[in-house]
Amino acid sequence: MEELDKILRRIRESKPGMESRYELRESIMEKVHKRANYLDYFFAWTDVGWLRKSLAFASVIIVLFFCGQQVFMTNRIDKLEKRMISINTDNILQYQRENVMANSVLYRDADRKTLADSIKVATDDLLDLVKSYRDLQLKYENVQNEAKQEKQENRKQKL
Amino acid sequence: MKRKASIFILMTIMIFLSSCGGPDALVVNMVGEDGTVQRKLILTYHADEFDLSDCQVPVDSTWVISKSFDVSEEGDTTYSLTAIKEFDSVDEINHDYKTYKGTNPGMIRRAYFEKKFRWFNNLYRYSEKVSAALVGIPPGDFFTEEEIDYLYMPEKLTDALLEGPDSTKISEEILDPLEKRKEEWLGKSLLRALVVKLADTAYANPEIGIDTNRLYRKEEELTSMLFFDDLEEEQILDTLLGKGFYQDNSVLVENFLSEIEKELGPAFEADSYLLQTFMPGELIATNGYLDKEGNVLWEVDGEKFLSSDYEMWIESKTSNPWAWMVTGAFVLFVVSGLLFKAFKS
Repeated sequence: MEELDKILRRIRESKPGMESRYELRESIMEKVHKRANYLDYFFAWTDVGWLRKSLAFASVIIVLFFCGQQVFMTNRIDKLEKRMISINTDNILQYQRENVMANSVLYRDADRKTLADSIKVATDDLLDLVKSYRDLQLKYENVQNEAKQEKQENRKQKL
Repeated sequence: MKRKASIFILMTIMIFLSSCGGPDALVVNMVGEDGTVQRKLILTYHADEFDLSDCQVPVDSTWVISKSFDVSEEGDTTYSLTAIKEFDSVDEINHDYKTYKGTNPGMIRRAYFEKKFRWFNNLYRYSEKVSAALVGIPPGDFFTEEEIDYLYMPEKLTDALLEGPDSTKISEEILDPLEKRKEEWLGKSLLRALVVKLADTAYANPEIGIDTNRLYRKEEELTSMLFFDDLEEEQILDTLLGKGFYQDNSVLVENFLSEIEKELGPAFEADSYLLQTFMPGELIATNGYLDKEGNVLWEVDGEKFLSSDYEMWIESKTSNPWAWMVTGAFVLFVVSGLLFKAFKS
C-alpha cells in the first residue's frame, strides 16, 4: 500500500497534461467523418435518382412476385384437401389381397365365367357374396374361440 | 351375318373385363429431382405363378425381383412379387412402353417429366398419359365435376368408401346414379365413334355417297333409340345412312365395323392396374387421389381412356434457399439505402 501511495504522489507532483488536445480531437473527428464517408460511398447510388427509383421498383416487384408465388402455391395445396381419402397404401394392398382371394374362389371353375346371363351383376354379386362369406366365417371362428375360452375359464373357476 | 347391337355387347364385355382374374398390380414411381425414376411393381396373386411377359406394365429380367407371401387371419395365402428398376429418365420408361407386349399391348402410354426454375422454388411435374382409344364423348363434356371425381376414383377406394360411415348416402346419391350415367355415356361414346368412323369412311370413299350431314343429324335420334330398342347393326346403319345401305355395302360395312372393334380393343381388353407416384419436395397439385399418408394414386382401366386421353399428373416444389438469401440481401440493401437517404436529407 505504501508503494502505491508513493507512485500516486509522484504522478500528482509531475502534473500530467494533455499536450496535443487539438490533434487528438482532429484525429477523432477524422475517424468519425471517415465512417460517414464509407456509408456515403456504400449508398452513393441513392443520390442517382433513376437508379434509386429503379432499385426501389425492382424490390417492390420482387416482393410482390414472392407474395404472389406463395399465395398461388398455398391455394393449390389447399385444393389438394379435396382429393384426400381416408385410406393408405397398406389398406390398398390388403384390398388387393382380399380381391385376389375372392377372385380365386370365383375362377376356380373356369366354366363359371360363362354361366351368368348378366355377367357384371353376377361377378359383383358373387364377389360380395364371397367376401361376406369370408367375413362371416371369421366372425364365427372368433365366436367359437371366445366360447372355448369362456368354458376353460369356467372350468378353472370350478376347480 | 347379322350381329346384335354390338354396342351393348361390348359395353358388357368392357365392364366385365375390368375385373379379370389375373394378378393385381400396383406400380409405384419414385421421381427424383433430376428426372430419374425408381419404378416399383407389386403383383399380388393367390398362387405363386407370375408371368412377367404377361404383366399390365412393362417388366423384364433386368428388374430386381423379389417374392414374398402373406397369410391372412383366415389362413389364406397370397403371394407378392416385387420388381424394382431405376430409370435414368422418362425416355427409358417410354422406350419400354413402346416395346411392351404384355396384357395391354394396344394401350398407348407415355411418361413426361418437367422441371421449371421459378427463382424461389423449383417446380416439378410428372405425368403418365394413356391415349384415347376412340373419338367418343369426353367425360368432361358429359359428367359433372363431382361425378368425374367418382368416375376416376380407383375401384378399391370406392369399395373403401362403401365401408365407411356415409356408405348408404354415397351409394344411393352418387354411385348408383353414376352407374346409369356411365352406361349412357358409354352408349353415346360408342355411337359417336361409329358416326365419326362412317364420316371418315365417306371422306376416304366419296364414290359411296354417304351424306355426312345426315349422319350427324341422325346421331341424336339414334342415341335415344338405343336405350329403348334392342337394335341390330343393320337397323343402326340404315337409320344413319338410309334404308338399304347395310345390304348394298355389306363388305364395306363389315370392314369398318371390324376396324372399330380393333380400335376399341385397347380399352375393352385393358387389364387394370394402380399407379402411385412420389415426387421430390412438397406436393402442390395432382389429379390423382391422396391417401392418409399423402401418397397419390390413380387407376388405369379401359373406361378411363375410352374417349379421351387419360393423363395422370402430379406437381411438386422444392425451395431454393440461396435465392431466398440473395433476394433478402438485395431487398435489405435497397431499403437501407432508401432509409439512409431519408435520414441524410
